[in-house]
Amino acid sequence: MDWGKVASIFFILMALTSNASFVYGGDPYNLVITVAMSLIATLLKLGSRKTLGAELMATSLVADLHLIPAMVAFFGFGEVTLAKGLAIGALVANVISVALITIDTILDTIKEEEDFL
Amino acid sequence: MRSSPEKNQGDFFDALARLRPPLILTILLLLVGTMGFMAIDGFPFVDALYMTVISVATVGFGEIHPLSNAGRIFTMGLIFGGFAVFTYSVGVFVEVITRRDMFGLFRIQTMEARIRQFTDHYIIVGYTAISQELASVFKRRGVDFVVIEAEANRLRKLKQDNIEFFIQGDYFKHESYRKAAVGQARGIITTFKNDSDNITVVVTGRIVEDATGRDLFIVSTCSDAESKARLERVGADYVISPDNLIGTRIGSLALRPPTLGARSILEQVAFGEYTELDIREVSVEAEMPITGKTIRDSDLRKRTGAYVVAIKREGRKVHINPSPEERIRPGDTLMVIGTPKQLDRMAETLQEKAVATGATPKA
Repeated sequence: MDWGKVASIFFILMALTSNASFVYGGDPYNLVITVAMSLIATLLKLGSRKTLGAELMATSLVADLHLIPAMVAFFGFGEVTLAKGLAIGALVANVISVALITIDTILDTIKEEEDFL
Repeated sequence: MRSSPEKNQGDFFDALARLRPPLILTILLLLVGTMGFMAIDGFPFVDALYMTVISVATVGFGEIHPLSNAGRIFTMGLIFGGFAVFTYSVGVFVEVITRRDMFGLFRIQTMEARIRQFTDHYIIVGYTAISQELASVFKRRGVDFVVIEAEANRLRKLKQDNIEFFIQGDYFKHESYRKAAVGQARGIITTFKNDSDNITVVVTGRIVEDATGRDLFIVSTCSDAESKARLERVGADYVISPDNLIGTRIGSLALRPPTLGARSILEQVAFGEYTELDIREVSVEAEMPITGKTIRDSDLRKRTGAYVVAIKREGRKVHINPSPEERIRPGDTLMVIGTPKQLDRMAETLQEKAVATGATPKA
C-alpha cells in the first residue's frame, strides 16, 4: 500500500468533510480543524511528482486562501456569514481537489498497467 | 567513464518533500494546542493560538488567562512536544539547505526549465577537450547547446568555463536526453576518446529519436577507420577523425603558410573562428522556385547579398565559381558565402518561397 497516497487522500478528505461540517453547523472547532487539514493537504503536495501535481497544488492553495480569511473573519471580527461564504468557496475547491486526485489515481493506474505490459 | 554525478544531490522535489514532515508536525502541534486551550480553559481562538505559540516557542511570556490544573498539565505536554518538534524541524531544515544544497538544486531546476524552452539546439554529450572547443565556437556563433556530463572533474571544468546549460546525468540514459529537451533538438554531438562510448551515444540517440519522432543530426568523433564504419553503421550522420582533421590542417598550413605573424582569414572562416563571414550549403529541392533557373535569374545575390561560390552536383566534381548562366538543378548543393545576416536572409527568402510552394529548404 502506498502510505504517502493514503496520507494525501486522508487530509484532502478531512479538509472537505470538516469544512462541510463547519458550513452546516458553524462550529469554531470545525473551522480550526478545516484550516489545519487544508494546510497539511497543501504541504503534502509540496514537491509532488504526480501527473496532475500542479493542478492539485493550485486547488489546494485556493482552498487555503479562502479558509485563512474565513478564520480571520470568524474569530477576529465575528463575521459568521462572511466566514461561511468563504468556507463554501473553499469547499468547492476541496471538491475539485477530490475529483482531481481521483483522475490522477486513474491515470497512475493506467500508467502502471502500461509499464507492466 | 560512467561515474556518478559530482555530488549525489538527489533532486529539488525530493529536497522539498523532506521539508514536509516538520511543517506538518508544526501545524498539527498548533492545532492541538489551540483546540486544547479552547476546550480546557475556554480561551477565545486568538488567545488560544497565542498561548500555543508562546508555549511551543518557549519564550517565557506569562499566562494571558488563569489556567486550571488540567490546563497547566496540558501546557507542560505542549512545551515538551513543541521542543521535540522544534529540534527535529531545525535539524531537517539545516540538512536540506546545507547538505542537500537546496539553493543549488533550485538553480538546476530553473536551468532545466529554461532548457525545456529550447528549440533547434545541439546536445553535446561529454565535456571532453574537443567539446570544450566546440562549446566556445557555439558560444561565439550564438548556437544554443546543452551539455550532458556525469564526471565530477569535467563538471567542475564546465562550471569554470561558465557553460550556462548542462544536464548532470548519465550519458546513456534516456532521462538525461529528455532533460536536455531532445524532442526539440537539432542534433547530438559525441566526442569521447573511447569509440565504444561514442557508439553507445549514437545508438541511444537513435532510440530516443524513434521515441520522440524528431529527426536528429548525429555527429561523432572516431579513433580509426574501423570505428568510423561502425559508427556510421549504427546511425551516425557524420563521423570525424580528429587525427585526420589535424593532419589535413597542418598539411594545408605547410603547403600554403599564411603571412608571418598573421592567421589565414580563409582558415578562420572555414573553422568558424572569423564570425563576420560564413559559408553555408543549401540543398536544392525540386519544389523550390530557384530550381531550374540560372544563378542570375534566381536573384539570390540581389535579394540577399550572398554569393554562390560553388555547386556540387551528383556524379560531377564540385563546380567552383560557376558562371551566372549556370542552371540550378534539383539535387544540387549550393555553397554560398556571405555575412551571417546575408545568409540568414537567404535562408528566410528560400523559406518564404518554399512555404509558398510547400517545400522546406535545407540550409
